[in-house]
Amino acid sequence: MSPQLPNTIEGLRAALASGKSSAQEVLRLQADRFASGAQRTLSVTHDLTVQYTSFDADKPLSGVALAHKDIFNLQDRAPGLGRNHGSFASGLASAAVIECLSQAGALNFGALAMAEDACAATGQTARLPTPLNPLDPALAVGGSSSGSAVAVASGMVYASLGTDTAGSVRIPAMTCGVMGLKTTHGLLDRRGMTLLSPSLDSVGVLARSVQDLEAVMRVLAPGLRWSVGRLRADYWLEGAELTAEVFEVIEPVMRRFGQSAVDLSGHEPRASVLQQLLMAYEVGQSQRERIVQKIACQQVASLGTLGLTIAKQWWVEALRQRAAHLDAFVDVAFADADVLMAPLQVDLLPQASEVYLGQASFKAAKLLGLHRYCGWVNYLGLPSLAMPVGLDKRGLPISIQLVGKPFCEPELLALGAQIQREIHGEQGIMPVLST
Amino acid sequence: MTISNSQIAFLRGELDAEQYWLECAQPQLESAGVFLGQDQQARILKQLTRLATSLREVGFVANDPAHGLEHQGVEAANQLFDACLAKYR
Repeated sequence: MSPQLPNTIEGLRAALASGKSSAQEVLRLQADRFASGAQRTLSVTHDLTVQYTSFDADKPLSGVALAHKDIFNLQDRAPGLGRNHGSFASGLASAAVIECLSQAGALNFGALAMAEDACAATGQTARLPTPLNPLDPALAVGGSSSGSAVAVASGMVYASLGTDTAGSVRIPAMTCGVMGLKTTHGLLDRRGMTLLSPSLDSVGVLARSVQDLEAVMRVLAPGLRWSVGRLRADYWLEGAELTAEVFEVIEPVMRRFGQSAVDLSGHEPRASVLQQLLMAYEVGQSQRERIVQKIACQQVASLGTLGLTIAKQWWVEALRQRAAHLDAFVDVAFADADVLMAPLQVDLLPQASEVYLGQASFKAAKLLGLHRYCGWVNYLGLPSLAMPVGLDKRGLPISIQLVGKPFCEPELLALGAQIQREIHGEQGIMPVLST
Repeated sequence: MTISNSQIAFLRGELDAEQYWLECAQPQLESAGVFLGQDQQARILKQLTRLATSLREVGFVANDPAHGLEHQGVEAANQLFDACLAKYR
């Protein structure tokens, strides 16, 4: 994270276990890193007091700096949800996933910025500061888990929890050049997390390396089959609407790590539109009071109002068809492969002025491009790992997603590790320590 | 035409968007307590038309569920999906 801090959790643990670094020293370095990053990137909505006195080798995340999207309940604190800085709530317990990480020894440094009510593809906010992209402050930060991606990319933390309804972990990871894992629907406990669209929401993890994603996931989902054998990957590119520059970067990577092309025409468009239906309807239901009171943000008001015009029977039918569509998709996409490599990024990373609402150079197509290939994964409930696999001519990252069968997060991370090793090196992505 | 039939007909392209708006969407919005100005109405109608067109293009058909079984339908659908996910575990 800095010359004094190793880049990975494994490295930090090794330094603590060997006595090369003391608990107090590690706490101070991480707190300094978090505070200076927070000032530089505007990514923190609430600081938490952290105590750490000694390394506990039995706890897999002992002394590891984390911070999470401000959508999770914390002890005696209701989340701000991008609307405000959160509030005191006596007796409120931490969300299940936050408690689980705490039990594993992780340090929680704060609540991180997010798009209001987790309902936007960018991190632009109306009521709180919009976080800045550590790669370049003029670049957009994707949403809705914007603060999580910024905090990870700028080295403030090793990893961060976010949530993903239509790309809200993968989009910010993509715009900040880090990795984002959207987990299988239902894998991680959502108690104590504010839901936007219950059929689609899942918890996700952002980090700079595959091994850090795995370290966090092994704590949150110990029951997964973590022993992975030989993997085969196929890839989907046919018919995807990508710019030439993105295609030129990702196509060789897909061919290098994948075996054969698969044709998903028919599957992806259907799952994408059914995801839009579910999300609009459920946002309408979950945000109705705020829409009626005219206190919902622009994105929630727009999507939720559309949702309130949708027939309930359409929503029921979209839910009813979900299992059959999942089976049909698995039959095609994973007929011969464990992992599917798929497009995520359709265009070069946009400037903030191109995708933030109300800007003179706003381009709707650029904003739509941020989430074009995200929603289908949520409708099918699949896990997906977003990761950068190359650079554009400006030296900015270009990302793809690795998609797996349900509960195949270990397979995604195993292939991700191979790609990381060749493209980024063993240590993963280095943080941007100054802008 | 009943509301339910109108909803199906709109999805099939047998009922135009303005008619669907008057028969179903606007009453639904107003019963939820949402009242739109003309500009907002035009924007939402455009989005709704686009969604219905996309649904039609991917062959989505909503059947008329038996009266009163919608809630049961949701629970059953969610259970079916959870079971489907679980079999891959």
